[in-house]
Amino acid sequence: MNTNRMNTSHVAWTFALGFSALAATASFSVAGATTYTLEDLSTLAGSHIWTDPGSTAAGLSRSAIVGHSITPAFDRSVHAFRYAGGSMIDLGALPGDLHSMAFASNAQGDAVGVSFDLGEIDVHGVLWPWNGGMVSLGAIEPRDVNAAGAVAGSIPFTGGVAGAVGTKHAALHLGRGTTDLGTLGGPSSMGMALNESNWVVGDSMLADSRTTRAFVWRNGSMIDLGTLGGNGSRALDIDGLTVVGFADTSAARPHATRWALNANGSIASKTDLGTLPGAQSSAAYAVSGTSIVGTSDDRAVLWTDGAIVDLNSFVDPNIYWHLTKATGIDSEGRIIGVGRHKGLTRAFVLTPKNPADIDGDGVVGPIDLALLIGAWGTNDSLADLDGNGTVGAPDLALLLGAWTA
Amino acid sequence: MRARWIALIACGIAALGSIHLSRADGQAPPPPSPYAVFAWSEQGMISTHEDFSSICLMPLGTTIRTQVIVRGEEPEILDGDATVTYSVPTHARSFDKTNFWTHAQQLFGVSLAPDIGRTGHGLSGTMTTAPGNLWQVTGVPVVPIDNAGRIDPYPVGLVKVTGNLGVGESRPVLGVSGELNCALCHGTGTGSPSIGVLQYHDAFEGTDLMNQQPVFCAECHADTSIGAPGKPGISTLSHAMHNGMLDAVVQSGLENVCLACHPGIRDEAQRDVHKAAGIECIDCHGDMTAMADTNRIPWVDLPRCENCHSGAGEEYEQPGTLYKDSIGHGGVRCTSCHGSPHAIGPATNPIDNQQAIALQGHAGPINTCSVCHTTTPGKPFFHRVNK
Repeated sequence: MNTNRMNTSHVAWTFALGFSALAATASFSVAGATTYTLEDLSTLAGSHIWTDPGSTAAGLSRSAIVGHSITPAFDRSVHAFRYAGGSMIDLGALPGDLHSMAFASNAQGDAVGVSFDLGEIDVHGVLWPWNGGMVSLGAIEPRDVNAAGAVAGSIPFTGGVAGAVGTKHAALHLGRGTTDLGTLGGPSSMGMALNESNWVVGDSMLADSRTTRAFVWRNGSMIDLGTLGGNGSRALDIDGLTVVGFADTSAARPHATRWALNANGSIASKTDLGTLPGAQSSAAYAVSGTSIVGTSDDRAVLWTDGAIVDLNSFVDPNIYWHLTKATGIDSEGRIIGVGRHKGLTRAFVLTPKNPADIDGDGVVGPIDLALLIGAWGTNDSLADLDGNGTVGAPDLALLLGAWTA
Repeated sequence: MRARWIALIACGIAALGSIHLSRADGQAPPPPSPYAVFAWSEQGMISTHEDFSSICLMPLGTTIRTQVIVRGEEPEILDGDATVTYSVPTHARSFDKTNFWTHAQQLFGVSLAPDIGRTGHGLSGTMTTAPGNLWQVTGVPVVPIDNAGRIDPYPVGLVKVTGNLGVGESRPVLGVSGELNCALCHGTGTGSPSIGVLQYHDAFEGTDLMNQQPVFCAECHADTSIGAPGKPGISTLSHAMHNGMLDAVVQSGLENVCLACHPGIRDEAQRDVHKAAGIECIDCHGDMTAMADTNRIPWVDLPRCENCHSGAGEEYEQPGTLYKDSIGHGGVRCTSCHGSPHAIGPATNPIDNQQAIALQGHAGPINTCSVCHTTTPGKPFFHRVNK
């Protein structure tokens, strides 16, 4: 018996079977099966700058990532950036301002943030359109922008009293002007995010001038989202009717929290998302569909399928990366945030890696097929796509089902 | 009689001046309150850092001080019968902006709840009375990042006084900088500047700090500013740093070598009337050699106003007492009228001048009698204690 011919026939036979299984191929599950490629966004001053704040990614859209970075200037100024195609671009600051920071980007790629000088009273809002340039938004400090161009943020509020600085009011900026959203009774509030229906979430002080509570604002009404039994809370993002942030438990520990809202803005449910095992705290920064990202005791985390995942578990410990916060996630599962790379603060992006892309070139094609066939019958972990311990027909079916070449 | 007329004319001129400036500023006069509330940061600006996984050089913790004057024909200092609360509205939470609490147990031997500082106080709460006609809270763990994620080393606190006569408030700037960075000299290809410091310390001092991370520097090197006694026979943190850095910072090429470590390139620790007059750090504190002098007692041997200021019949600090702890006119704290150390008004940062503007309609030292006096004083003002 010619073993080789038999083996070849065996492969051809299973290849044929593999084709017939295409229709039944399921998409890869994220939890436990997905891996990621990790990319260091570097800084506007290059990869070796050791001066903080390094770089931080804050906003994510289909076309680009935005955030802020240290610049090459001796004055240690910080500038907003847009990152796309492996290149970081300085978005600049308004004339007369030294610093800028970008906080969010909408689906079209328009970014919003602030331009300012430290120690000055006025902070200026900025819109950086996707196709270049910058537009001053005046006194509003934007924190989020939706597809229609509505902006959520904060405006300074003095109550008409000279010298009464340090307090702000949450605000919604539409094309026709800016609306002061008020507070939950206290002196100050801040708008942090908005959905496509212009509902704004953020936090507000209560009348005691000490306690901060998460709120949702809708159609002129600001609602206190409450806590998990403790004192305070903050709302940091909203997607549709899902709000995320953190709230204090009865043990005075801040825990990441998900609030589900009804169509009229009332609270349908409030869920403690928990922490990593043994951790004291957690906070949720962004939500996309049912996926939520944030941090737990200085470790970037993902909540999905009812579980919390330490994103550092996807990182090779030998490359000296520690992911500290995940600040954004999109519908394709890309995750942005900030961490420490060799001890230096750096923005990162995690891109879900198709397990069938065995060689990691971004394409599932002939090379991956060749690698899989070459590992046939072995327990090669990269080629063992279904994780059953042996590279065989089911793995071939999965690879063919994910073909992109 | 003539002295009384002179006093009346002097206060009248001062009052008219403040009114004129208020009108010129176009700002509303301060709202009437039974209390004149003065609040400030004890140090003006503290230095800290975001990452505590390897080293704790400067822990979080700001001290806020407040003095409350009951306004009247004869103003009185209020040292009881009131509730004084504090908060930092735009910097309400710190726990997710630093890993300080993740490593607190290892560094300090005590478990700290998120957003609670080393002295047991949080980012909002109630002040207690302290010696010297003060209200005070220590160890407030405020960080230089605001609620929206913006870098802000000048957080503005909110101090509210509720007493038998009504309410009053003040907004002190609680300077805190994360600019402290050892990267100018330390740092390796595979580790952070903090790792570089520990490796250097192990190589030259025969220690094993790399295997004891995170390391709290003041556990061995005394730092009385944070209540750390250190260990006998080991130099204070101030001496160790200034003596150890002496040659390195001179070679840094910086025009002001203090800024090799202390905030001042981006965040301004010194932002006061002296800076505006061109006075630099070494003009008051001395150079690195002076700072490294083992005969100097850190946090005790500090610049004195009387070293440069003098005036016939005037007094400044009390003997053996620093500016930040001294009193003057009517027992009022020097810092109440003049502001925090390093932010003495009129400050170069507009935000530091806002408390004075709220009280008297213009920046600078409090020099308007009506801030505390509801009637024109019958006696002239002297820059002396209890006068």
